[in-house]
Amino acid sequence: MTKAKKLKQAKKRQPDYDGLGYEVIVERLESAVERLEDGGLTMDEAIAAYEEGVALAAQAQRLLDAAEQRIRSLREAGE
Amino acid sequence: MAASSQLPGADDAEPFASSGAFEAIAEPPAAYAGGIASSTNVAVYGAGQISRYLSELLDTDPFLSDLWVAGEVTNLSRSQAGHLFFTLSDTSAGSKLAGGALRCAFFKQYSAGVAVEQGESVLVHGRVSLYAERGDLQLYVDALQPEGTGVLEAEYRRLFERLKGDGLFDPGRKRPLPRYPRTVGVVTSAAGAVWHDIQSVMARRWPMTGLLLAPAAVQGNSAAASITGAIEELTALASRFDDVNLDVIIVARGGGSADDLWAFNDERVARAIFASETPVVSAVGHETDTTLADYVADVRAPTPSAAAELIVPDEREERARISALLAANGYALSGRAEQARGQLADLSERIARQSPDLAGERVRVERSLSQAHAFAVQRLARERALVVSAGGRLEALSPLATLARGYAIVQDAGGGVVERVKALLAGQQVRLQFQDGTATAEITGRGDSEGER
Repeated sequence: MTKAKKLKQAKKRQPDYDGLGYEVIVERLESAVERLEDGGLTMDEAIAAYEEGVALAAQAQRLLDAAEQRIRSLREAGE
Repeated sequence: MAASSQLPGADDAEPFASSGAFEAIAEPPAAYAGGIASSTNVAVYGAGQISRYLSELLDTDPFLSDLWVAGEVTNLSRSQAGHLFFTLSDTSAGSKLAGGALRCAFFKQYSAGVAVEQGESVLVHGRVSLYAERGDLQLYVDALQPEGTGVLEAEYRRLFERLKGDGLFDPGRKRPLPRYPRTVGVVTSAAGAVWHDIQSVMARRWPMTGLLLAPAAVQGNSAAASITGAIEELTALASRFDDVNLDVIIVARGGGSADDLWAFNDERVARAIFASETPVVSAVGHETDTTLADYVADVRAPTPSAAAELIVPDEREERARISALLAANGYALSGRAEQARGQLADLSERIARQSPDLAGERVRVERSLSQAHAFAVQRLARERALVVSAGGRLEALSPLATLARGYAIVQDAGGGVVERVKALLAGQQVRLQFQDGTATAEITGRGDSEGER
């Protein structure tokens, strides 16, 4: 396996939430916690759900941290 | 929108020239040309042709199609079908408008439930048209208010009933607002405090939401058209570009007099809000002012700042919520791990109960082994004893043992053992085998001893 491919795989394991809106992130977070709370997951699935939850919460916080008001006007936008 | 003081002025003065769509007709009425008996130079028309032409002219005149008219009800009659007909006259002595009259038709679908009395001073809304079959010019009334009512209030009531009838205020149509709007379109004046307030509330509570200002004039004659245009511009933009992500529109204006807020009672504004695919939050004036825009909007906010407050969550609350979710996530996993640990303990206990008793087994094996060993030893000893005794018996049977005791074995010339005397002949050479060697002898005689045996 080439180095590039390895890098690609490693990246794949790190979930990519870029481009997902805050609402989607929070919905997924809620659903991960719910699945975990409902039980009925295998241990592997439970750990995966937990890790997903942690990553999603971190992403939600990152989005909140990075939020910066964007203001446009139709006149400036020139549409 | 026609205020009571507005009369055909410079702009509307020449109805024949002003009705753009019918300009072709206004010059030489081509559709009616030819007439019934034309000569080369003079056209002659039928009466119906002219009344239809007039009717079209009147129907396409914007001024005549939306009028409030004040007057006194005379010649009131009700047809069998339930329609009301009356004449509206200027009777107030000394009025500069005095002297005129208009025939009015107030059809059942509009007049039902409306009380009209002979001699009453009223304010009516309607359009002027020609009843072509009879050549009667009439005001077709669709709303009637007692004259004491201000014209604005009368117009408001008329529009309210009309829009309500068209389902614009239907509670079933109200759409929920998204929890986290991505972009909020704001229709308001770019210069006023309203735009500033909305920006600052949004920046404080939820800066993640983008703001898209659609500047509009919010008072004055052009306000209604400007607000309508801004709403339409926003929704058109949103439907054309996916990345605009327009989730809510705020239509807002600060406080003011009823006249100042009037544009938000305009039918065009109401219908633009109704037509918007994006949910609309109205925030016009103060809490006590309710405009038609407020009735049509999906959500009515008491003030512009309140509109911003209610459409976005609060960042601090949201952070607390994320933390709570994160904690719940951790609890849920440790709960799951706890459960797994319990399962594991239970299983190991069960597996311990199910496993064979190795130590006991080992003792048993060892015991068997030593038993087997003892048995083997015994058996061996017995065998050895047997062998020894067999050896003894063998010894006893051995011819060598016989020789040792002093006997000799007789053999014939071929080496065969001579067991009986009968096998011997006199003179026969035999060999005698002793324990220490052999000797040769000759038989000299024999004597049978049969009886001895």
